Amino acid sequence: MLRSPVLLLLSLVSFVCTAVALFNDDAFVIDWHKPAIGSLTPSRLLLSPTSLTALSDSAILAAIDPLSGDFLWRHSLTHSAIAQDAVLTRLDDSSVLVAAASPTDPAITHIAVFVELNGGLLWESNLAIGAPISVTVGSRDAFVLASDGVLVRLRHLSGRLSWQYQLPTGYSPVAASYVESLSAIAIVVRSQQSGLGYITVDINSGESTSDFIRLDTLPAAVGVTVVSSDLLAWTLPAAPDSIKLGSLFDGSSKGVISASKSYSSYELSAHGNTLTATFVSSDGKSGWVQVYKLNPSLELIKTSEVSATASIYASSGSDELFEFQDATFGGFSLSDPLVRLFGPTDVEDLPSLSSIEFVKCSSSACLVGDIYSEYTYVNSTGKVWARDESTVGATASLFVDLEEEGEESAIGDVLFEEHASPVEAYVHRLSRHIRALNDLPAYLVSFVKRFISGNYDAAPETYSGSVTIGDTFGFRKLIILATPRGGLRALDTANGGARVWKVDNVLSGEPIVGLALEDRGAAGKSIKVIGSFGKVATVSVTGTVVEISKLDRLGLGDKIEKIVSLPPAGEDEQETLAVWTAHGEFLVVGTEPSKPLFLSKVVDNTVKGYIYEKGSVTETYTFSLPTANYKISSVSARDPKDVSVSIGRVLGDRSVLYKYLNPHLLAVTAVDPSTSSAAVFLLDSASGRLLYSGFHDGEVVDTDAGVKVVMGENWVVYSYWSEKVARGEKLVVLDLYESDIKDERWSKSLGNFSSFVNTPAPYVQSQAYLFPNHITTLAVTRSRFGITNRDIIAALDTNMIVELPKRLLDARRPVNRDPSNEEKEEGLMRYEPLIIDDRRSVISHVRQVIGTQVVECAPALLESTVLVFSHGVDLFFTRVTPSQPFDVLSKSFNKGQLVTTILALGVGVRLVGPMVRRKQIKARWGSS
Amino acid sequence: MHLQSLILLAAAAAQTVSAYTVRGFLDPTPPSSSSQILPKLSYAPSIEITLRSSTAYHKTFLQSAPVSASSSDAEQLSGFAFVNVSEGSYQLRVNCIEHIFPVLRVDVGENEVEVFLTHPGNDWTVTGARQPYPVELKPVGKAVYYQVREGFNVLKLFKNPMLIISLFTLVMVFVLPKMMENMDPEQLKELQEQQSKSVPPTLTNPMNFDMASYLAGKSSSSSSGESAAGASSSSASGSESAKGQARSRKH
Repeated sequence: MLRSPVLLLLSLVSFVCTAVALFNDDAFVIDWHKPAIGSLTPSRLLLSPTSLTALSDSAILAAIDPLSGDFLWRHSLTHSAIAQDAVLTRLDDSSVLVAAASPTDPAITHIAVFVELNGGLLWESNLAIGAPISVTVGSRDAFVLASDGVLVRLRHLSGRLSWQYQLPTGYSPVAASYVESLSAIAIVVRSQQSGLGYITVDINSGESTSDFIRLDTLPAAVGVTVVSSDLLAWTLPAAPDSIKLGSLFDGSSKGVISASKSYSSYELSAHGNTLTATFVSSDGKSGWVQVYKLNPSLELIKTSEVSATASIYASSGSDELFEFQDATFGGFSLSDPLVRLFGPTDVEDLPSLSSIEFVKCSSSACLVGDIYSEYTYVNSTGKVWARDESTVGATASLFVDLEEEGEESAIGDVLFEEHASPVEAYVHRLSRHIRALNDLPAYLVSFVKRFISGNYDAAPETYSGSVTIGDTFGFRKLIILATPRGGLRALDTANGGARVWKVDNVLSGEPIVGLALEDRGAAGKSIKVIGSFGKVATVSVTGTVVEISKLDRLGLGDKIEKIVSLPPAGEDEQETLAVWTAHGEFLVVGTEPSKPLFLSKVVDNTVKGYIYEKGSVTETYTFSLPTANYKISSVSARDPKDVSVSIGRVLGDRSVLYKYLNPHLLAVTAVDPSTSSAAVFLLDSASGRLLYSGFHDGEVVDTDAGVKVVMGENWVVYSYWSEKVARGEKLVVLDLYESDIKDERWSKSLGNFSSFVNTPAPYVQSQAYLFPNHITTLAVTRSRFGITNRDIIAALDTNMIVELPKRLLDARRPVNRDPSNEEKEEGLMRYEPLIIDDRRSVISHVRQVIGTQVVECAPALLESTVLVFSHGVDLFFTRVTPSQPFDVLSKSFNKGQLVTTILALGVGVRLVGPMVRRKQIKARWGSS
Repeated sequence: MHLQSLILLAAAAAQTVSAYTVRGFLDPTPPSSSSQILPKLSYAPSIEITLRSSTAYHKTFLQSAPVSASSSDAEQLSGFAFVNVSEGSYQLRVNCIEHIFPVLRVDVGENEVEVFLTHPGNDWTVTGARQPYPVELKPVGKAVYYQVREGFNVLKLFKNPMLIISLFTLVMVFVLPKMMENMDPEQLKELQEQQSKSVPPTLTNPMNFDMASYLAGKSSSSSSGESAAGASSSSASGSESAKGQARSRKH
């Protein structure tokens, strides 16, 4: 591994650099951030002409500016709300109420009221009433109906509980509505004996004012919705085409709406005396409207197919009706006949009618959500803004290196010239150079431009033209994200994360399990997309699906769980791409490797080892945790692409501690909730041998938060939160060396290192640090040649991403004494258990990066620079230089200054030169 | 602010069912800095306040006073409350991008809530000064994320002593000959004589300074006459011979 002692020295030199903060002129330039909230559901979306508030499926409550589509504020409610069990309603003009089942205890409803304008909390409360079903607002107070059959009244200013009403047994709650004329809450219930009906509860006393009032004899009613305060709609599964209407005032039937065709979904809205029913046809490609008069009896005014072309309709809830056609948007007034208000207006990028998931309208604008989690806000002038929320909870991500400019054509030419006869090659080369002269003027112009601007790392202008051309320094790459709804998004790291291309529904409905990059040399790169049911798509770097195949060896009813990308087994071989299936099969996608593969994975709280040979996989070992109470928390192996340039660590006295560099090293962490303790195990994943174990007993570890672990070159860093001794996050580093004796290197005497030879256990040095914040994700930087230091990237629960030099977490830092001169030479500082909360290590600086799940690092072409990308909810990208940007001119380098200095010197020499000459001559002649 | 939190506290007492409510507020008065009057801090809605032990994790957001209070101050975000906190010892942190707040220890007991400052890196039993309840949090400073890059600065350039010296020398090169010209010829001669006495001839003209002979310890007169003469010393004899040579070359 050791190429030369020079590299060793170089790594030693790089030790001396310490991490410093982000430069103020780099912030917002080298990094970008895409705040997101995730998929929206129309029932948890409040839209008015001046506001848009939503509780996303990822439990993030956000207010969106309807003019720009930017977030006014966001609150992550993941700690207190299960979004799928949540109700969002407007409490009054200025505040919204969220009632949601608590993730820690589903029997508790968490209710919180926020001011829409500034995101301030008005009040919150937890009630043990089960999951919320329905919230209705009456005389300014909130009434929450929950699954335990409880209705509560909460005061609108304080959230104080006024009273609580319990439904009689046998009735299950369905919905609640405030009926003003009764001054009561109608609780819609169903009972197996009595069918569908309602019970009214007086809002002041909290006592029931009526017995069960029957609306329908069959309890199996579906789609029970409160249309307006005293109007209820439902259908029966046996007769889906007739929508029944009932009054919550007197229990009378208000008539039946008969859908004129079969539908896939419908929406009712009542305004004054008008009831609008908008339907979407069963194929989802068109819709129609039925408008009714409510009083004195339900009367169909109009069944309209407003236009002949396929359209989908949506009602604003008042007088407006909106119409969507392919790429147009129009509005009507709900009078008789319908009066066109505006349109049809052309709307760019409007989703096709069949991919529209929902439309939610205010009186002037609509939010259109498509099935790929993209949201477009349209009004009478066209598209106002669009948000792509599909990347939240991405299932896989991938960095794609781009070609250098002109690389593609040059390779072929150079290859030809290498193999052709000298004369032919010379002629070819000459003609190539003459051809290249064509580009000379353009080159000169760009050269002058670059010279003047001095900006070499900026994105070349050819970006818009070509997707596949990178920049000089390799800062431009594509990030491919697999969306949870089966699509792909390619983002450009250089242009603020702009979306370069997208492909939706790549595997026709199959969720994407993993992505892998396939490099076919001269044939270019392509992306392999693997679906959970065995579909494999090949997508080009430019975003076209080249082919879709199916893994035929996948057993019936089997499912792909995880993809494995293994480094090439030998020279002239490619990376091996393989998958693990739910039935424990190991299938290789593409070419079979020539050598046996050693594999390991976590199965049922144990680590199992396998050997893959000749197309079959055999179990070799099982590593079980010491007691059954231990649960595996996290696992980390070394990135196979990470290279080591130095096999040892040079100490101050010029002796060497040899690093324990075992490619099969696997770190497994576990927690024991019964004793609140944590443990870490280092295994050889090929042989299953336990190399090291460490236990944190009696520290009162937060076992719910678990242990995070990351493995670098010859070290492991893990973190956990515990109460003892000092309360807070602990960051533990394990440095592994071949031996504690200096200059001893047994792996050399063995010749070839093997996991199956009984080698001495590694010498493990460890130190623990107290970290000021809670860590949610750990990652390690990886540079191109591995010469640059490795830094640890950590995502914090404070929505920040920090960079910690590994040098800081060095297990050799002297404890309780100052470092000796030799140790200082090594770059060691005195051990300080507390890592200070220095915001200068925050690489996300003032950006709030919410919900980070994964941090990925990729090397740039420059050895000094590592690209860091995080996803989860928000997307964040930046580049870091763990050993300082040693191979690039710093921004403070002033070309103008240099040129002026040289010019000034030149002028000075011109001026002074004659004088000196004259003086010399005078001196020689002795004349004065 | 105090009054408001007390009212909230009273409301809490009525509501408390099985667990406790921990209340507090972020003080909007800026960190003390001499006598300067600074505007009140405004806190962003993105601020989160967490209360944590090994078994419980509470998170809350800043509260907005009810909008019915008409004064603009009322819309300031500052108060917070954790509802349904069970008994125990907690760490209270403020996640704020802009300001840095101290970490507090909050002990929720059977009858009272005790608040202490913490000393990071110390045993949890080592508590700092006791703090009032409702929790009162004052920022200790503004968060610094950036390092300022030192750009090119003309003023700074002129503060450099090296530059000043070289500029001075440059000016002198131009100014001194002019001064010499304006001098009285007799005075000049006097000066030249003085110089010739005090300074060794080899050192008077650095252009032709013979380093080798100087280091070898040879005096100018004993070294090769030619070089010494060529060195155009301003000593009377030297200049005489130099003139002679030059003239002879002219012929």
